[in-house]
Amino acid sequence: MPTPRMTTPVLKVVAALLADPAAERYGLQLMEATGLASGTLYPILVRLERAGWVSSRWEQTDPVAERRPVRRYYRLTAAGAAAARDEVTRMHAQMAQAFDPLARPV
Amino acid sequence: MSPSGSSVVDRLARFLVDRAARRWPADLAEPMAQEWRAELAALRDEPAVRRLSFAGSLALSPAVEPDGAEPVLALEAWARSAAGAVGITVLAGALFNGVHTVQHRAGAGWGFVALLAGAAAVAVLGRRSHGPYRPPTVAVGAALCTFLLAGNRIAVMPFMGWIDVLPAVLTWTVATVLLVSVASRAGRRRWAPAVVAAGGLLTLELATLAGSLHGARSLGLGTASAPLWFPLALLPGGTVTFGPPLAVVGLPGFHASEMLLGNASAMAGPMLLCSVFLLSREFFPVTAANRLGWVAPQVPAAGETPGTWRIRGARIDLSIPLGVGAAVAALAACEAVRRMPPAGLEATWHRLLDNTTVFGFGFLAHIPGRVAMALAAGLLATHLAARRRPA
Repeated sequence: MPTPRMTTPVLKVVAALLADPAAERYGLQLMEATGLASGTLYPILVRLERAGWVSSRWEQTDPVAERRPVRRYYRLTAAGAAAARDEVTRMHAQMAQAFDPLARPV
Repeated sequence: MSPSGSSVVDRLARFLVDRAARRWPADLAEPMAQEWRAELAALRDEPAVRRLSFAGSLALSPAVEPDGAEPVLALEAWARSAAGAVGITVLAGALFNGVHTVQHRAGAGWGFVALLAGAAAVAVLGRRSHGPYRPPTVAVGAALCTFLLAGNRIAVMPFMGWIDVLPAVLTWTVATVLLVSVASRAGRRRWAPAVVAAGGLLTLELATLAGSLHGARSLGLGTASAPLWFPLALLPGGTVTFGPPLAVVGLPGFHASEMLLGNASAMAGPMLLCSVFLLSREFFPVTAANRLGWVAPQVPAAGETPGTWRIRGARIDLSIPLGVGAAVAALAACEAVRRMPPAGLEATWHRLLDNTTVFGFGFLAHIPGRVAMALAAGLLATHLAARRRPA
C-alpha cells in the first residue's frame, strides 16, 4: 500500500487520531480537532484509508429510530498508529532541529 | 431562522454536497455523499453558515484522485479543470464555426448533418470525461463567457458585449447546474433522458432569450417572436425574417431579425455543444458506456506510473514533452489563423446575416490570447498523457 504524503494537514489529522488511537471519530469531530475545512479533510481520510492507516465503519443504528442518517466513523489501524507515531516523532525531531540552533548540524 | 429559511439552506447544502460527490471517483461518490448528508443532518441545529461552509468547502475543493493515482496539488487540480473547460469551449466554438462553414458552402441540409456530427463528437468526449477529470459546469460557464466576450475581435457582432453575453451565460450556467442535479437524482429512471433532453433545450432557449433581449430592444423588435430565436439561430439566416427593415450602407433589403439571429447564433452554437458535452453522461445510460468501454478506469496497474511509456525496456515519462509539443502546435495553429487575410466588412456583413460568420477567435489577434491557448493545450495534453494507462 502507498505511504501517504506527509503534508501539514495530513500530520494534523494523524495527530488528532493519535490523541486517542482507540477512539472512533466522525468527520465533524476531526474537523474541529484539526481546524481543517471539509474539502481538505475528506480527501485526506480517503488517502489514509487507502494506505491502510485508517479504517472506517458505518454507525450501527436505526436511522428511522434515530431520525437521522447513519454516520461514518474513522479510527487508526494498529499499523497506521505505529506508522503515524513514527511520522509525528520524525516531524517533531525535524522541527526541534530547525528551531534549536545548537542541535542543527554544522 | 424561520423553518422555511432553514429548509432552503438545507436544500442548498445538500445540493452542494451531492454536486461535490459527483466529481469524486465512481466507487466513492455515493458513500461520500451519504456520509456528508449524515454530517449535514448532525449540523441541523447549528447556524446556517456552518452547514453552508461545510458543503461549500466540499463543492469548491478538488476531488480526491482515483485509487492508485498520484495525489495532485490543489493548484494543479484547478489548472486541470480550467484547461478542460477552456478546451471544451474552444472545441465547441471551432466545431460550430465548422457547421457554419458547411452551411455556407453546402447548404442547410449538410449544415444540419455537420451539427449532428459535432454534437456526437462532444457527446463521446462528455461520456469519457469522468470524476476529477471532468471540468465542472461553472468552469465551463466562465470559459464560455470569456470566449464569447474575447471573440468579438472587430466588433462585427454589435450585440456581444457584457450586457448580452453575461445574461446568456449566467442563465445557461445556472439552468445547466440545476438540470444536472435533477438528472443525477433521477438516476436511471426511464424518463430521465427525456427530462435531460427537454431541460437542455429549454436551457438553451432561455439562455438565447436572455442574451438577445438587449439586441431586440435596440433593433426595435418585440418579444412575441422570442420562443423562435433559438431554433432560428441554428438555421441559415433569412429563413424567416421579421422586424423593421434596416438601412445599412451597401446592403439594402435586410431586416432587424437577421442581425439579431446572427448574434444569437454566435452565442447559442457554442452553448449548445457545451450542453451536449455536460449532459451526455446524464442522457446515455451508464451501462451502455461501460459496455462500450467508454468509461475507462484511470487507475494504473500496480507498480506502474501514469504518463510513462515503455520504450525499448526503459520506462519514459512523456507527459511533459507531449504537453510542450501540444503547446507549440497550438501556438503555430493560432499564428496561422491570425495570419489569415481578414474578410472585408461587406463580406462579413453578408455572412453575419446568413448565419455563417466564423466567430469567436478574435482574441488570437493578441499575444495574451495566443499564449492562453498554447498554455491550455499544453496543460490538457500533459493531463491526458498522465491519465493514460501505460502500454
